[in-house]
Amino acid sequence: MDLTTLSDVRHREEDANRLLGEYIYGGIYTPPLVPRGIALEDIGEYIAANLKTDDSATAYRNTLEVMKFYEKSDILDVLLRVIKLEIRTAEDIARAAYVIQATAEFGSTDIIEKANNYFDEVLVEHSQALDVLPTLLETKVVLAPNGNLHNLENRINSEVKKAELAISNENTLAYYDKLSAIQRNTLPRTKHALQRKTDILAMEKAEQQSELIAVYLGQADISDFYSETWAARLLRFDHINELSTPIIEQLFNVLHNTTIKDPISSFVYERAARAIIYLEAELDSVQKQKFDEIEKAGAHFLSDNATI
Amino acid sequence: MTKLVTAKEGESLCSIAMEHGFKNCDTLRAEAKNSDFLKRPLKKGDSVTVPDITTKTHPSATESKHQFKRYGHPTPKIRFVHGSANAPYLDDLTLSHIDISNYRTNKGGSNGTSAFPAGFGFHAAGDADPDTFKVEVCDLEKPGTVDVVLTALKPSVVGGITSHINFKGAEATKRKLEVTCDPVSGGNPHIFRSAYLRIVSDEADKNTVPDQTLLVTDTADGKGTEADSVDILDQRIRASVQLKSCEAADPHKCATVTELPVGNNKKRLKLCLHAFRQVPGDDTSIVGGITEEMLRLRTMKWFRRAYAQANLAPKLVAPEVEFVDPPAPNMLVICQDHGRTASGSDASSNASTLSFKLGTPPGSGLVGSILSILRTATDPEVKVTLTAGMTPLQISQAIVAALPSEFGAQVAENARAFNAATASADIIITANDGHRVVIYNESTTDTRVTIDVARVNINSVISRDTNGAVIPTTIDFRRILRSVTGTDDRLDCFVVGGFDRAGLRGRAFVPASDLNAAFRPAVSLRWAAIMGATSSSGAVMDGSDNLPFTFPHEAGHVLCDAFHTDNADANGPSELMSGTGTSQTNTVDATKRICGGAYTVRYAFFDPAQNNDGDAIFGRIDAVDRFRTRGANVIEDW
Repeated sequence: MDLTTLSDVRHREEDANRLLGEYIYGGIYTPPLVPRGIALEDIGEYIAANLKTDDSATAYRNTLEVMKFYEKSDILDVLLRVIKLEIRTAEDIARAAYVIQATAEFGSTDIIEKANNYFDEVLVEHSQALDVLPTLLETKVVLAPNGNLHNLENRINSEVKKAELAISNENTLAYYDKLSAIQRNTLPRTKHALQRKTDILAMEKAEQQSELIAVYLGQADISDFYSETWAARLLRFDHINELSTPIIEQLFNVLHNTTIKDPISSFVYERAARAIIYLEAELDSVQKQKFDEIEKAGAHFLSDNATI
Repeated sequence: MTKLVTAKEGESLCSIAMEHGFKNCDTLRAEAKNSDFLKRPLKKGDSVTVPDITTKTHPSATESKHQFKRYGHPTPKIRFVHGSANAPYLDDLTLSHIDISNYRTNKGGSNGTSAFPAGFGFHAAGDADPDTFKVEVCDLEKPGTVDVVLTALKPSVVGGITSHINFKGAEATKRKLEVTCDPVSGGNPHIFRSAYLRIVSDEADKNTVPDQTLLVTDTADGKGTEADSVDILDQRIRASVQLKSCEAADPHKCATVTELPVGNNKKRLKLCLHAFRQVPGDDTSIVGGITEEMLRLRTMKWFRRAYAQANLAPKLVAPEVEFVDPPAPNMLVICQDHGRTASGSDASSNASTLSFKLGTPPGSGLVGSILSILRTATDPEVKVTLTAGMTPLQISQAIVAALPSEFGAQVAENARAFNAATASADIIITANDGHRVVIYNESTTDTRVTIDVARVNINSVISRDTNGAVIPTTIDFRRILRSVTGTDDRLDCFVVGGFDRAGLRGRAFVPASDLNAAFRPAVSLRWAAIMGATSSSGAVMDGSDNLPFTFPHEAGHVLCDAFHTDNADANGPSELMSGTGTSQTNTVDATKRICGGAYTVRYAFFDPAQNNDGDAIFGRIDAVDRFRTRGANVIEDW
């Protein structure tokens, strides 16, 4: 497997453009998976021609997902145009946050450092930053192991104090409760996710891959959409580059050790099986039969319909 | 001896008079018993008194030829036809109804993009729209051309009997169309037809092709009076051709008339509106200054106009329009989006717990920090111990079991996010004595479980779904939708002040019936829409004409269980379900068409195959048909 076969190309440019348009600009109706089977050059051309600096933050989030699946680092400059613009609204902050995330995924070390500074000094300090706190907190996890949470944590702590002093009715009380819940629950969880990511990256390859598989299969305490995609990309990279222990073998072990008895075990089995197929190995007849029989609900990053 | 004649459809005083040997209607008009008919056309069933005819003797020689002139001609016949490419005109079917056209008014053709033909005779571009019609007159008297007047009539219910009457004054003037009919080509010189005509439901469409459109629209004012009840689909179209031989003074000359109903297979779309107060119990604090009148007007004007082309009309069902308190912060959410099961342990491998406190909202007039007053040691704390593998639903059930006796709760498992193995769950906690409950200090030590409380700012509702979570959607949205118990047999529309993204105007909650069961939304979270009172494009739900099609658009998502049209489709941008953003003002090209019958448009919707959960595809659909079949839950017979 190499980068040209991340997904077997099966769409002509016109169809590719339509599929990309549906995904990037689908808004709330964006399909859950990045469309597969598109030529890398078609992706680059589409995004360069269509992505505007005032497109919605969601469009930028979706563009980032396309970049991740196809490893399209060469279009980072198209996204970076946003950073040069004035940040006025919460939507601007969210859009810029996704660009920072793209930088963290595909940028060079010095660009990532600049992005980190921009994040802390411009986005975190913006008057409307509190309106998009979940996105900002997620971005800090994406940036890890670069940067830290200090500025964002300070901002949250300071805003909680202000909100407490402003309580005068049910609405202001709810606002205080909302911010303090972020301080009490989300912030520690983000710190934990950030630390876990850093720890996993520092592990020996074999141990790291085992952890990444647990994350990808939804079994780790940090498993969520972002971390599962992150884990999948690393696993795919290792597989393509034949680094360390065979990932396929570990995935087969998951199948071997999973008894399908409920939606969770079914989900794990399906996701592992899809990953095996995507990474160009074959299920044996028993595994294939089990895979065919379960109710499909676990398709994610390591999955390509053309290979099933 | 005088006799009574019962008028048949399309008859006039003149036609009855001529049938009984009179030159015209003068004698009948002079009869006092016919006084009711002097200022209006005859209706089917009217009893017309026909006086005795006066006979006269004219002596003449026998065995010679005498010339007599017969007065009175057969009165004109008039009918509505669609026409056809090749059939003799006599073989063209007489229409039984006329539908509001789904086409852009200045367009025709099999793909809806050709120019609408203005001339007489057959044109493929006019013929392609099944809703076009022509008026045909058979008149043996007149050479040249024939003038016909088309008018819209409104229903009038008197004593339980429905009849149709003229609009009055300016309302009548704008619902009138005078057309000229030309002799049909290659046929009988006494058969005349108009050019292609359409009925349209708004002024912008009318003004675009004024000579070939008849306006059939509402009179809504939102006041809940008779003006609101005039439904477009209850109206009739009358065509009348005046009898020149009639010597009555204008405007009461006799005419041959024919009428047809507007619409066919009409259905009513049941909906109700819930607008939020900003302050509990205060009806002067409705979001965006919205009033009941505004909401009724939006519904009975623009909603009605948009949906008439699909032969659907809105019907407000109980509670019709109501004001509701802002949602209390009393909904706990276990494992939002990810739906993870509990690990049963904290970061130090001790048994994990989940806890929160139950308080009350503050009274009014408080200033400064009042936490110490509000949050007392006597507020009950609820704490449960989590065990490994507990699902969000099981955690919720454990919470309910741990509640103090003075509280009750409702638990609901949400649809799964597309990338999650299990579903999140919601718990709404209420006090048995009815006071508003405030949940606070929610927390969990479990390494996998998350806990949130829905704290909705009704003027800035959180609208950003995370990846793959369009159906379980945001906590704010679910809390709003759970403010009312859904019934699945009506469209519930909630009006909030606005969204965290000012550009957002509304959000639909589709039934998503093509998804696999675990991913479908449950009752209360489907067949609904949340509309902002305002947006960065201005008012959305007030009594103005700003953003006229936004509310119908969001309802359309729910009805057709689909997303948006393909903007690359030639007709995509003008569809009601366009993905370009609903039009700010009403124009002929505004986002208001619902394709059906003649041409189809590419729409996006959940792929029925669902190879991957949440997969969506584009496909050409007859939107009218899809609206009516997919939306059957909330549609009833006329």
